[in-house]
Amino acid sequence: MTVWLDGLASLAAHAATVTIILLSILWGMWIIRGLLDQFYKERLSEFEKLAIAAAGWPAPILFLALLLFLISLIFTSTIGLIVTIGIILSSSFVFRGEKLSLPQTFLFFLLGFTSLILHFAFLKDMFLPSYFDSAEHYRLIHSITETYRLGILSKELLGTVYHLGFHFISAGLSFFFQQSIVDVILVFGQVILTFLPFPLFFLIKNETDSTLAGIFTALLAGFGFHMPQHLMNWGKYPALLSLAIISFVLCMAYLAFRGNPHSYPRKYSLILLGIGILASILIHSRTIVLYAILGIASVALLIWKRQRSSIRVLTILFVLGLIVIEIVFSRSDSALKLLLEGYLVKDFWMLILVGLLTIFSFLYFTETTFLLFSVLAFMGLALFTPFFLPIHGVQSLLDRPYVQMFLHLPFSLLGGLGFAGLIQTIKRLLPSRELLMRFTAVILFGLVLINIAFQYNFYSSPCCRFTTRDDLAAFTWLDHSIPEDATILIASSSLYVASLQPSQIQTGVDAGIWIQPLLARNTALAWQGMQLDSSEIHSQLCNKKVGYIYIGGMPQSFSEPILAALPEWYSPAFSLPKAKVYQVIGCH
Amino acid sequence: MLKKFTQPKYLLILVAGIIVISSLAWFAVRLNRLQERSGESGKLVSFDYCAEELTKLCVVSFGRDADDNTIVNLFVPEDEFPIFYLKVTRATGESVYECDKNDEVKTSVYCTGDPLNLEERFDIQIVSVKDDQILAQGRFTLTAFLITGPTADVQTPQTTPEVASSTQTESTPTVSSGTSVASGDLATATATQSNNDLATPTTSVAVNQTATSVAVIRATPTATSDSYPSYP
Repeated sequence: MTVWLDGLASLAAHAATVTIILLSILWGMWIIRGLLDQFYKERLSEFEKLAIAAAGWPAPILFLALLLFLISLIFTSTIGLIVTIGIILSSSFVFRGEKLSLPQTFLFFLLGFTSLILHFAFLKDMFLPSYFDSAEHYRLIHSITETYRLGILSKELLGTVYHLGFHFISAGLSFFFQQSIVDVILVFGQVILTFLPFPLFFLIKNETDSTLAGIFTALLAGFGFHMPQHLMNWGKYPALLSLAIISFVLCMAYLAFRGNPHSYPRKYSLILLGIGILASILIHSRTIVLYAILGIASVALLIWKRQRSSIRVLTILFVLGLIVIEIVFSRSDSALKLLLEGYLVKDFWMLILVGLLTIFSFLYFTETTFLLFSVLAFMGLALFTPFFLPIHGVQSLLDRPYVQMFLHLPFSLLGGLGFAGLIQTIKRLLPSRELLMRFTAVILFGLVLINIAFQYNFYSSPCCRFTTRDDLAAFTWLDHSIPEDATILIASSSLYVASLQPSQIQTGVDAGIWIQPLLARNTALAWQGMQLDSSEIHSQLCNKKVGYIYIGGMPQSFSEPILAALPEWYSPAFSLPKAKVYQVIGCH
Repeated sequence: MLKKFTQPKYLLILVAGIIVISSLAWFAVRLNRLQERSGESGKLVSFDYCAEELTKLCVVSFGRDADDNTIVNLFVPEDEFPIFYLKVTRATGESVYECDKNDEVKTSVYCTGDPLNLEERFDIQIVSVKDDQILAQGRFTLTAFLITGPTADVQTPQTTPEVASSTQTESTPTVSSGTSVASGDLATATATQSNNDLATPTTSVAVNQTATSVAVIRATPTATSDSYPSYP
């Protein structure tokens, strides 16, 4: 009950931002639904169209946001806004589809609203987004809004070639609707989460011809695993948005290559597929790797289908063996071992359930199951496959957080296929026992619901909440009290997320990471364990003209007792229990 | 009869109607709550230390600044209080604490004023800047400053700090590929902070057209049990 109340309270607290973001998403869905209607007529049910639109909405919004930015840059933001409003109005008319089916639309939004309330419990007492990524997202969005405001391209943006989608959409919403960037980031994340499970319903419903299996899959994808909700603890908003558009690409690929070409003309599906892939790459460049893997796995499936049954069985065993080897290797790699631990610790019972259901998935949907396992195997390989990127050096094709985020998707699909397989097994073995079939479905749904009630964490995790209210007070004090050109030392640590990764990548480990984006102050990252009590370090801080040291309330923040013990070098300038600022003194 | 309501325009009107009604209901509830708080037979709002739930005015923590002044960190529900200052009444007399609100998170306000002593008992009144009207009051005992270490004993620095004009940074958005710097050594600042979900680089932000930067000072950049893991 508390979750519901907290969710409603958070919704009320962010009412204006929620309304604006929901209306924007509804426009995106309206366009996608209209296209589906025009391309496929009435071959898709209303719920299916809405389910696909729930994945495809970022595409039109993103293209509109980019257009708005370009026009604003060339002319002014006012002209950009006028053109945008014109496009929104005209496109809403041009792409209007058939009449909405009221009951299905109502059901869709009822489920969506329920999910929205639950997901908003996450925002209880959240005043800044979690972890260090969020600060960077804030900074980029702020740079874009400044470009809107001043009409001059921020130098910052010239180097920003990745993940345009989330930042441009958020900046547009923030600037033109005068919403705080922080609110837009926080709310947008939860709203994206709300719509994520719907497209999986479409995929499994069409693959298994079972509505219940579709709903089961959506339930698993929404609340069965710690992902994708846990992404919000990591502040990985572009990755979250990419999940939506990936689902859209999957739906379009399904219609293009698995749908009946007479019902779903391939050329239209390919057009939408192309749009989806383009939007997807703009939202998160790493999705290219994912699509390459899907392509290779699909080719592997085509070859596999042509083989003798004995070879097919051997190939399945080979793929399973490969996955086992990858698991062993990833567990021995310090950067990758959290990949499975995340699921084993937080989603143990769901993994058991999906594991059991996978047996039925293999029995009745062998090809799709083989495809999914191939994808898992290739993703595992990508974790160890090096490639060179000019800016970042040698990296692995995929990193651990991205794979961890994505895994809930194949797991949910396998669960849905297995659900349908189990029901079919009962139907085949005991055709007269319809009650048993219903009972089995109820049990499976019940198990997931029980898991949600007892295991699922609707709230944000303390692991990643860098900023406390003491930090906010410290920020206000810094903003008002220290010289504008002062440099503040903040604690950092190396980033370990891939088997191959340049060791120089440094990330903030406490609220200090927010000082630069929020206050526009110079900050210097330093390893959190740096020997601040050594005279060499002190003199180098002086040489680098570091004026202040920020100590947040996280376990990896700088050690305060070390600084407090050296009053001749470090003087306490601001001190609250969970946020402290020391001034570097004694420089000669 | 209901069929015509399945048309998009009616649905849009329906959705808009729901939004408007919900908003009105929300505002009504908020207004009612405000009236309850301010109007209940003229009673003042009372406040205390914050509990786990931050729903009403409360004190988050006490602290100190460089001049040994006391900092009072407050949670203030958004839009429920005008600009205010604190009037602290102690056995020795009254003193005024000036308050600043966080620009980004409006519920965060901190106030600074004369030093308070441990175990001291005092009253805090929240007073409107506009008309000096008392908005809220609370009685506190400063049981702890919650400051770790010997910071409270440290005197205000005598040495004027050397304040930098700017940090040394490279504007090129690249990750440096040099070898690790030995422990305790500060390398030339290089802009690097990035990760997979982030776009490139973190150099010079044109926020308010003031160049700011993030530099990296390297010292022992090796994995340790403390620094691991990233993305728990």
